[in-house]
Amino acid sequence: MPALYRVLAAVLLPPAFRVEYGEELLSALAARLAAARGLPARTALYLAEVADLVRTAAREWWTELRPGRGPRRRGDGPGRGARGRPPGETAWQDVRYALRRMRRAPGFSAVVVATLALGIGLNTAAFGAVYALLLRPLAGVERPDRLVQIYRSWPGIAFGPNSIPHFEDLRARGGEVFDGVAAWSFVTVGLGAEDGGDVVTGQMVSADFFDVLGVGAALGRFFVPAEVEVEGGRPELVLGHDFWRGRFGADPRVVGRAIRINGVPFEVVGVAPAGFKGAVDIYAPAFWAPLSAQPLLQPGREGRAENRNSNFMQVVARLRDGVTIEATRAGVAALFEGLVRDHPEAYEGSDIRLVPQDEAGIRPSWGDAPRRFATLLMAVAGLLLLLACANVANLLLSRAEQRRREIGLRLSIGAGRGRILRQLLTEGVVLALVSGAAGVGLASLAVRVMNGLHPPTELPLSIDFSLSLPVLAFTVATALATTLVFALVPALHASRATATGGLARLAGRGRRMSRTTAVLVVAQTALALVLLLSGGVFLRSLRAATAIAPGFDAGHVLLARVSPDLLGWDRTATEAFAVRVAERMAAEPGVASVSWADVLPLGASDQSTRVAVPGRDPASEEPMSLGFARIGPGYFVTMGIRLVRGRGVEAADDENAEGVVVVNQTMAERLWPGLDPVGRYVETQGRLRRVVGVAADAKYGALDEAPTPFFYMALAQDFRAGITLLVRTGGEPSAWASTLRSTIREVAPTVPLRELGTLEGHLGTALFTSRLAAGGLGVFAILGVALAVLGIYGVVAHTVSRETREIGIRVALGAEPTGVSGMVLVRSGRLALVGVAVGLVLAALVVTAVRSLLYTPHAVDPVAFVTLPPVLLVAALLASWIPARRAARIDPAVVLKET
Amino acid sequence: MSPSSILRPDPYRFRPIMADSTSGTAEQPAISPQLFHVLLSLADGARHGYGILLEVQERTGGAVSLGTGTLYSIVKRLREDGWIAETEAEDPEREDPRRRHYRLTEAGRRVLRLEAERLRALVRQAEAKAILGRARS
Repeated sequence: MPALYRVLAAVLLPPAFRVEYGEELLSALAARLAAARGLPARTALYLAEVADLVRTAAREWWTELRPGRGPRRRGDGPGRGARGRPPGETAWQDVRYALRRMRRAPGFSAVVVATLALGIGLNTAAFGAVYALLLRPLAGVERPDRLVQIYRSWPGIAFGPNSIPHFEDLRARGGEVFDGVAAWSFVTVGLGAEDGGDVVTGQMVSADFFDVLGVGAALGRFFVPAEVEVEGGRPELVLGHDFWRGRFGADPRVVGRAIRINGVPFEVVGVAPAGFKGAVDIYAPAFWAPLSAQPLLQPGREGRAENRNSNFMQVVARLRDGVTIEATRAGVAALFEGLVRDHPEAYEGSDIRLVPQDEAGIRPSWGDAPRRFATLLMAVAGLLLLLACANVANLLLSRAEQRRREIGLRLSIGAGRGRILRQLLTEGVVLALVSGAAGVGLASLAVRVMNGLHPPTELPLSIDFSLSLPVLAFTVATALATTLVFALVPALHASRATATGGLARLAGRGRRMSRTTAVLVVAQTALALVLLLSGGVFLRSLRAATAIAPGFDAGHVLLARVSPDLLGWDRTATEAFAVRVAERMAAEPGVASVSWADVLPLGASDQSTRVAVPGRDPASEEPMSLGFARIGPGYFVTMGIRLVRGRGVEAADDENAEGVVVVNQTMAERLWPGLDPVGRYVETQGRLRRVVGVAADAKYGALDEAPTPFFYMALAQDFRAGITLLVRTGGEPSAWASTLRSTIREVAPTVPLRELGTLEGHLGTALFTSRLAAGGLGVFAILGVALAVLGIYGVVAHTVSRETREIGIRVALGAEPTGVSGMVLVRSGRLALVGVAVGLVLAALVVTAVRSLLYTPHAVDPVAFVTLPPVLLVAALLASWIPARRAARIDPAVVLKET
Repeated sequence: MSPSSILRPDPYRFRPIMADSTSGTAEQPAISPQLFHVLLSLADGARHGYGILLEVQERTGGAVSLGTGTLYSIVKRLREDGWIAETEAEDPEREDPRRRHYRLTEAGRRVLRLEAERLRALVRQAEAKAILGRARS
């Protein structure tokens, strides 16, 4: 935090003052901040100190630069005016003067403050989002910079999860490089009826998870490894702080109580501190349970903990003190070699990867995309702020024109030029700070909107977008930087006034549109076009994404996700349940077909498993861990996926029958190029399975993915209890929703129903980021164009009013009113055209930089780049049209009489 | 701003803030409160910058709080005027070498006294008019 102060001090203070007092100043500030108790007090002090620094800098520059500078003259007696005042007093006087001026022109001030507040507020909100998602160190954790995340990798999977035996080996053998190694995984469970009876998501963690992260319990205790990490260890639970507050009203007596999870009582032993969310802080787990309880937490998936090939855990480790990340990497590489030697079959073709916690971003597997998007967001918000600054600069400029008279007068009665420059800059700083305060208000509104946005995922997403200290520091810095942009030019402009020139202006001589004004019009048009085109390109991209054929027919499909596993049902009961619901739904009028699957394409969850073809050696680096789904009979008909050859999964493909799979075209082409795959065999999930059909390709992970190998197994032959029921209907699927719900309730009143909706709604997951990007950038584009239109209107109106006399004379000499308004329109039209040209180039650069986020084939989308510039041109002309019409109505008689 | 408001004499605004050190009397205008507090904090011995901040804050119960930047601006000013001077720390071994200590000069002490006397005179005048409640009996 003091870094900002240090930078400001280095940038703002005059060198002489900085050299003499800089070190001392920073040392005193540090002592002062250290003495402040509590975050709010420290924040307030810090902000006050930053403001004080700015005042000090202004004051010191003034003493440095004022006319007649030498060592301060002694005996600046009474009557010497401002020159003899101590710095604090005159600065305060300037501030009061600035505030008085703001009050005196409330309309003007309101426009300026609103414009700047919009720019600063949106920048604060945008930075708040970027900070929360990418920059904030892991919350509630000791020394997050010493944590690393550990992944396994396979060809095609850069950051894969770990199995429990693998994690245990890492922990046992990593003592030389790690201070501790912990594992965690999300787990969704059913609560007992007495605690709400619903489905909640928590994490199962190794017993030393909290020790490794360096967290202390807010209440009770955490897990004791010796007690829970043994076979049949006691089922214990630590509650998340939010869950404890929301569900148990922050009742401390909850410690010691039993909570029923999947029908089994777990004893609550403690509560985690507020703000702690585990090793990834965008989700707030309801609870933490020890890994040893895995069979209870995930019934029906027993044996998972002992399987070295069952990779589902995330691993986080703390570096040993004094050991560098390079040394750790080397140590882990050696350790991994040992593992490969001991278990060659389990580690074939795989590798291990370390990612320092602070480089991991949200998830390393998301790669650069979040960072790129963050950069784009900040760039766009920055452009909007520039646009706002251009508007305000223009307003101030037109006012500076009027103020030349006042300033000339002040110069003529002996005010110093530096004094006036300082006064004008102070006015700028006051405006910026008032706007900054308003901007923070606006940002907190935006934050509320952002907190309300939830991607359709069951994970307990909880991103803290609050306006934290670094975000507010960013706002202050933005506001001050803004001042330099919008206030400096008009101030310099105005202070160039001369006593005589200024007074001459009292007589009211006009001039043509100045070069500065022209540059402002061009800049505003260009910036607005960049915003408009970024928004447009992302909207086009959203359209393109929506138009991508997912490979299945999402219309007319109703889905219901149910979790009988959370009731501890065995497979017989689960299958009987699915079959009965399917039979009853199929009997409903208007229902075409019914089926089920464990995961749906384009959902939040993906799963993959190793596949081998007997007799075929995969090329090295060939990804053999392939995506798959477990499906019921009738799946392909219900989903509208075309079967290219053979058959789908049928009711006869049960547990006792021969194992079968259906592969997609890409997988068929990859594994048996040029051959008929039907009748050939693959080995997967511990069983040899015969290929019985080939399905058309679909999209599985993301809409823009390249054709991906994928296969389908019969659910009955690789049982998994959590399933999604699918119903293809003859009409609008939601019309059957209540029927499906009541059918499920009748067949099994207690089974947890996690989701009931349409397949089209489910696709929202895949489109969420596109919608968010297009929506957000669309808002920026609209605001940008609005600002530009207002700005252009302001400039043209101002120019016309200055030219009233000239226009009056022209009209008196016989110019047609249409000719006059034409002249005004042509002039601003020409400037807008230049702006559009500049904007096109800039926009092309911007969208090319974020190409990878777009679904459109070309970043420079021809439709957006052809249709939008004329829209802006028309808007610019409309903005000029009102003042142009006013120019045409100028009555020469009135104007000439006035002069 | 209208020209008239520029020309109108404003007794507060044109009050010279810093009295000449050689000509202060009870009738002379005040030095600024912040300056006064900095000088006063050095009246009972030398202090470093942070020490001045602490002393002012403690003595006024937090009612007067100087910004760190403002403080050094004032320190610079006072040194240029010769009202305070740099001095050795009492125990240089134990001190942060970045911290310089400042003491009042004779001129500074006199300004402080004059200002205090001026304030006392003002308070007495106020007391005479029973502004502070009943006059002391």
